[in-house]
Amino acid sequence: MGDSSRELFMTVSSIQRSVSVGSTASQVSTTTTTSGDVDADADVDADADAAIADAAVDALASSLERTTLSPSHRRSGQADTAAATAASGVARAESPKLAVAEMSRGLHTHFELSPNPVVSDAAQAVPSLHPTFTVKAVQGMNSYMEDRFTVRPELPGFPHGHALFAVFDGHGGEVAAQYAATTLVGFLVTAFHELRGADTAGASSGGGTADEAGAGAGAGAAAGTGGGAGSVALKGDALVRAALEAAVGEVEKGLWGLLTKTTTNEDGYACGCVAAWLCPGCLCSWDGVTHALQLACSLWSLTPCVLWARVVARSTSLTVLDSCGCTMTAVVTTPTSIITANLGDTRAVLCGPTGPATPLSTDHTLQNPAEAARVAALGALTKEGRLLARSKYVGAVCVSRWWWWWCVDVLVWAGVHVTNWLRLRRRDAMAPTRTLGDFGFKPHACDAGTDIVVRFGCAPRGCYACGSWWCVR
Amino acid sequence: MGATAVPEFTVTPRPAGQPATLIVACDGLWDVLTNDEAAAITRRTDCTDAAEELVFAAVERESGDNITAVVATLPAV
Repeated sequence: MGDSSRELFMTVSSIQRSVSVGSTASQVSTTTTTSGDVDADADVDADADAAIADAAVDALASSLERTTLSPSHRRSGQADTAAATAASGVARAESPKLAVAEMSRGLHTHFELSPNPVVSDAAQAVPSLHPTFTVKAVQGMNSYMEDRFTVRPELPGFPHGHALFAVFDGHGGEVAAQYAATTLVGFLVTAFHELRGADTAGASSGGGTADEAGAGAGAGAAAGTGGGAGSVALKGDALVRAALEAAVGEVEKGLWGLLTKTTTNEDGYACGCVAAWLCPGCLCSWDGVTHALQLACSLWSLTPCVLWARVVARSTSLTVLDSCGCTMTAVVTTPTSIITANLGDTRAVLCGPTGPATPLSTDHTLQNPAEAARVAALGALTKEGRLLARSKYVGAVCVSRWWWWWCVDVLVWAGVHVTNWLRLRRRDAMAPTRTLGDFGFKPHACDAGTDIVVRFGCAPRGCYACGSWWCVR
Repeated sequence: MGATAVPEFTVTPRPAGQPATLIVACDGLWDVLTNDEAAAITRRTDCTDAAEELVFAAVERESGDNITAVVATLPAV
């Protein structure tokens, strides 16, 4: 089968170019006379990253609309997404339009980057820490190409010798994988910069200026490190790891905003309220739910019907966005170590010239006993070795003397079970147990395992009548 | 219910004095290749062909998914 399969997957185009960012940065950094150019290069890189991320978000918005509107348009969206991926993968695509035109030809998306490091006198003075790399991605037998990757042989703002290799395997559409692949680098660079800035500020103040230390701690907290940015300054691998952790958190937050289409300002509230009625995708956000409920309460006598409609809407169309996500394996290599962040069943492996290969990550599936135990402890339900997106009716407390509140509870209870039944029918299940996106599979927006708690009350007649707790996931 | 976006981190020291090969790939590859098979493929091929060879090997074993492989040769430190 060798030759025929090779012919089948033969390169549509082979894009070979030098990895310009890595090579130039290494040359410049070894010469002191052009140190100004280093900063300029770094700035340009950061700008380019931001521009790429912005463009990617724009492209994503349109691609998302295409995806939700009509599946037949997804093929045409692939050129855009391939463009953003190529930009993300090659760091500085010299002719992205050409690359896209070549890549979008044919059924099998395939692109290949071959490193061709430029060797100069300056580069030879210091042994290069740059890795050489190749990437190959094929669509295979799948109907869609939902894999994405990001490779940066040199990370802007990082010390020399840091590189990022990441692979994302999307499901439920390529939106989540595309977003993660295009934004991870930017978030990583930003988080690294902020954490390092916070650490140096905290270390230099030494208790002398409380404002500065407070600002440093605040910046660290804002970066979402969950501790670490305090009296103990992060250095080296711990700093990179914290930055990577913060970056993954930012990607998840960005996906939440992207997939639920809600914002948190006052205008966003208003949008959430109206859009919750028009767009079921907004219903999974806490803001959308609360405002929709306020509107529902104002309609008072229609409340049971409205809630019933919401439940049915969730069961029918929300899963388009709820089951969109991606796995991620991101590897940052530093001069001394290899830091791996893993979500799901993509995998990183390290192999030397001899000896067995060393896995750098464990797969997060239900076949992994630790993951199965973690998932089981959360009360998640599974089917055929896959995680199920399921609604859960938690319970109701009715102290109302109005009979229709009892009807509301019965309707909600029934609606949740209808939702589950429909989801089972459509097999809304996924194999990986840790992912980016996939908000239909995640508890969020409140604690204690119930993600969305709806409390009916605030009756217009001033009588707090009823409390009903409803967990929709 | 049950899924999370909290990544699992591992920090592995780079092997001293010798180059190492890093393979990052999606489940389309790992469904049909073991770690050691993939490592053997990267050892017997040139660095510039390693990712392609890995993906071809997965295609030959009739992997039904998208296949993406990133192969990086880390210089000796």
